[in-house]
Amino acid sequence: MANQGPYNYSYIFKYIIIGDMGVGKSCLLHQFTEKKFMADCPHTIGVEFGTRIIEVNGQKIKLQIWDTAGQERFRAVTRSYYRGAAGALMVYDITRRATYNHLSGWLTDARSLTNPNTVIFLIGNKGDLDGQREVTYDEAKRFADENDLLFLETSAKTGDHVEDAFIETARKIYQNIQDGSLDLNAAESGVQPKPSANPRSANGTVGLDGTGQSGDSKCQC
Amino acid sequence: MTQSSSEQLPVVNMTNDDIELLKRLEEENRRIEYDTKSPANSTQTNHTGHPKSPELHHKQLRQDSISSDVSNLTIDADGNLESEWSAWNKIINNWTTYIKKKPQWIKDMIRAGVPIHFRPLLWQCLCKVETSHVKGKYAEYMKMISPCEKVIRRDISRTYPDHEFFKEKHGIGQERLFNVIKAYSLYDREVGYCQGIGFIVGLLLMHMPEEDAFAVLVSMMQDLSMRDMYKPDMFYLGLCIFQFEAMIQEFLPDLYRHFQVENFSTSTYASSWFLTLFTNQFSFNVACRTMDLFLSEGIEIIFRMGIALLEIHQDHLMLLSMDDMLKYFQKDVPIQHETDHESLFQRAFSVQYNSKKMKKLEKEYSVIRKEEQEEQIEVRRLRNENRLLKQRVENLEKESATLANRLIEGQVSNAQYAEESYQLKRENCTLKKQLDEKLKNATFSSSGHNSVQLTSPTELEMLRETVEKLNMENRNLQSMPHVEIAALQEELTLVKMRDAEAQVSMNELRQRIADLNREWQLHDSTCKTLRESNQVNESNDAYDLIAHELLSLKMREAQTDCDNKALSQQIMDLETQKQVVYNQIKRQDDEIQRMRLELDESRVREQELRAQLNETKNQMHDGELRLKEDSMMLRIREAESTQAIGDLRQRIAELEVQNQELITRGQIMDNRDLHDKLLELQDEVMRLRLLPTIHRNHSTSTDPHRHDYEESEDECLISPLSTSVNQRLSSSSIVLSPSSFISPNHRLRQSTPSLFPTLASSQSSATSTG
Repeated sequence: MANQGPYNYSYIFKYIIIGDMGVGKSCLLHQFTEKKFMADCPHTIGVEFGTRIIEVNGQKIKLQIWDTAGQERFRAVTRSYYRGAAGALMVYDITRRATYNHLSGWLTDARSLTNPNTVIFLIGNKGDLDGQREVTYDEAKRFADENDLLFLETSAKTGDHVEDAFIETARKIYQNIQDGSLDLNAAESGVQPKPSANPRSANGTVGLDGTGQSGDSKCQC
Repeated sequence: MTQSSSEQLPVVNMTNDDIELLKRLEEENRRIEYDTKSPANSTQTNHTGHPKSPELHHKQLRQDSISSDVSNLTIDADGNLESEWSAWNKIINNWTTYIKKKPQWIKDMIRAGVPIHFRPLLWQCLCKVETSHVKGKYAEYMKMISPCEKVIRRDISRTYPDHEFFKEKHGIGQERLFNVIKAYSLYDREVGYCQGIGFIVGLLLMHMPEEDAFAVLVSMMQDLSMRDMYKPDMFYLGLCIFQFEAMIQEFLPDLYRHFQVENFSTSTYASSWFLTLFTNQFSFNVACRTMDLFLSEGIEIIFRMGIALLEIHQDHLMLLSMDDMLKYFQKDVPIQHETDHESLFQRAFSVQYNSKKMKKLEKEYSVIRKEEQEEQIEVRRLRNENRLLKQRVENLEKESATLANRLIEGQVSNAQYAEESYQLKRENCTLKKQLDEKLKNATFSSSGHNSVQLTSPTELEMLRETVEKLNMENRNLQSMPHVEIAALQEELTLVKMRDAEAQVSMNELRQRIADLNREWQLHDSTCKTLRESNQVNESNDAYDLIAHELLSLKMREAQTDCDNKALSQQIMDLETQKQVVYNQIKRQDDEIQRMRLELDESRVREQELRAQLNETKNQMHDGELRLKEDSMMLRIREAESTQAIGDLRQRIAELEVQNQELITRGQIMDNRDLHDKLLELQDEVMRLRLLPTIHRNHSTSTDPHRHDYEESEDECLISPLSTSVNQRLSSSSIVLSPSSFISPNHRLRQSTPSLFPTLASSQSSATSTG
């Protein structure tokens, strides 16, 4: 983040970080934006925020990252931040099985509150504590594959794979833009083409909710 | 504690003496702190024995500390400080009487600033810790295990991580923090633990021992409704944000618009203000002062400070984008107020806080929230229903697939059976043909046999007998039930066949016997001729030869007999085989029939299932339609309600305009009234001035007629005046009267009474003057 020139990037991607208490959401954000590990990071009240400009396929992209409080009751507050997220980083702690078991709840929240194109990235954090591991890589990988999630194990402490997780997500979003599956004009795409003063066009949401039912074979005698 | 007080130093205007004094006070304070904490440190061991002793100890120390502070003060400090401290001393010592008699004064004193040493005592007084019974329960809670313990533990090291007191892992500070939060989670199970409580408890623990901090916390939660903030649904937080937003809109419309344009939601920066009362971002001094004011004035102060902060930083914020605003709130704002915080508080005090309006907003919010919840419930219900219906569709599809499979299988097996039955029919046909042939043969042979009847009458007889018997049997069998007849007939024919065959073989044998007889006769005749010719010599030889031949013949006969028997055996075998085959055919026939029945049945069942499928499909379709309809209805209702809100807002605006109009009109009217009254009075003066002269004239003249005239003239003079007054009044009342029935609006009713007194007074003045 050498020079925060205001308009030297071509996209803004909105991210959210979700997951149970104490899995290291804020630390991941801090590691990514400041490249430092904050051992004693005060717990998040409500939401916190960070930005960083990255480069994907030669395009400069500004990531706008919302870090949410992990406690269940804060979901009432944090829910409104899911809307219009282009990427969701869903974090669990590899040394605490409970945080992994809660993923399905987080996933349904993420799926129901974001648009269908939102890229969801599963992150198993605290990879540096391999000795205390309670969730194997293979198991989580299987879960990720079953649910169409990208997956990496990271360590906010050592910085391992932290960049990769954030950048892979951006790459996937960028790819979605390139192949046209992500509609930039949709109000809730979570991607703004250019940081200009034009008011957001409220064209409505991406119309993908009507699930067409076809192909019921007819056979008569 | 030490760090905090050194921060406090610049606040007070100081001379060298003051510094001396403060240093000494600090020493004293530290001693007290140490003493007060020492019993608290050992609460777990100490409490079981003497549950009340630390409390008492603390109380006594408190008295000491105050008296020592005061004695120090009277010696060294200048008058101002002395008076302030002695005042505080008086307040704290006689809290109950002061708070009853002079609550406003105490409030003002707190607003003016609380000396750091009085702070813990003041907080405890404000929270009525002295009379609270929860303190006694603390030791009890320490022994219990809270379901939130794990979660609390996770946040302990992440609460004031930079503060000296809480820095050390599993140090005293962290343990106390854990204990108090745990105790509260046990005390109030509905709230349990909520992120954010830690910062408040931490601040309390920087000032007082665990039990007192716990009691203050309980009082804050219950009396100042902080527990509603932390409840699992966080209703109160949402309400505060809603109210705060309305305040921004009212006091800082430009900033409000800027926030809206930038899509910058209030909850992003203000949530932590309300949840932690400025403890987790702002400096220690700001946090402490806020706590003083919060305990004295309630949540109002948070609104005031929030608005004050936004006012102070408005110009800067207006230039920033959303990202930068957030960073500004996160970093720059707390830093700016680290040193200069008094201006912030002064500004906060001057913010106009309208509690009536807040109440109104609360009502509005609860309605909105309720609607939202209902909608959410509805949506959830619909989603669930949808899911269930989808599941049902899936199940039905699966069922229909299995049914289709079964149908195909049935058809295949049907075809197989048809083929089989065809084969069986063919076999049957061939067998029948064979049978017929055999029967024909049999009859043919039996007819052939009749011609040979004569040769062996006895056997013929026997055969006849058997035929008769068979016929009898046949007849018997024919009279037997129809089902068995076929089998029996079959058997009969078989028997006949056997018979025929036996007869054929017998015929052959008879033929042979006849041949033999003929041979024998021939041989006899030759023998006779030979005997005649050869007489005795040769007859012996010939006899031998004949005997030999006879023997061989007999042998052959026996052999043929044997053969015959074997043949009959074979026939028997064949017969049984046939029987077996026949039975098989019969069984297969049966099976075919059964299969056909089954096939028919399965067809019927399939048709039924298909009908069911169609029905469920229809139901599904109906359900989906209903669902869509419902959601449409919901949308329509929403649209209607938003329209209604819009309408209402417009009406409010209109009414406000009307109100304004009426007020101004009322004011104008007042002016006009005054003007009228002036004119009247002037008229009156004129008249009064005229009257004496008339009187004078009247008294001088003695003509009674003239007097009458004068009087009537007088009346004439008065009447136009009074009528004019009346007219004016009535005209004014006409102007005013519409307002009295236009005003269904609450605000109008409030404002209109101010118009009536002026009218009444003008009337009364008019009558008095009249």
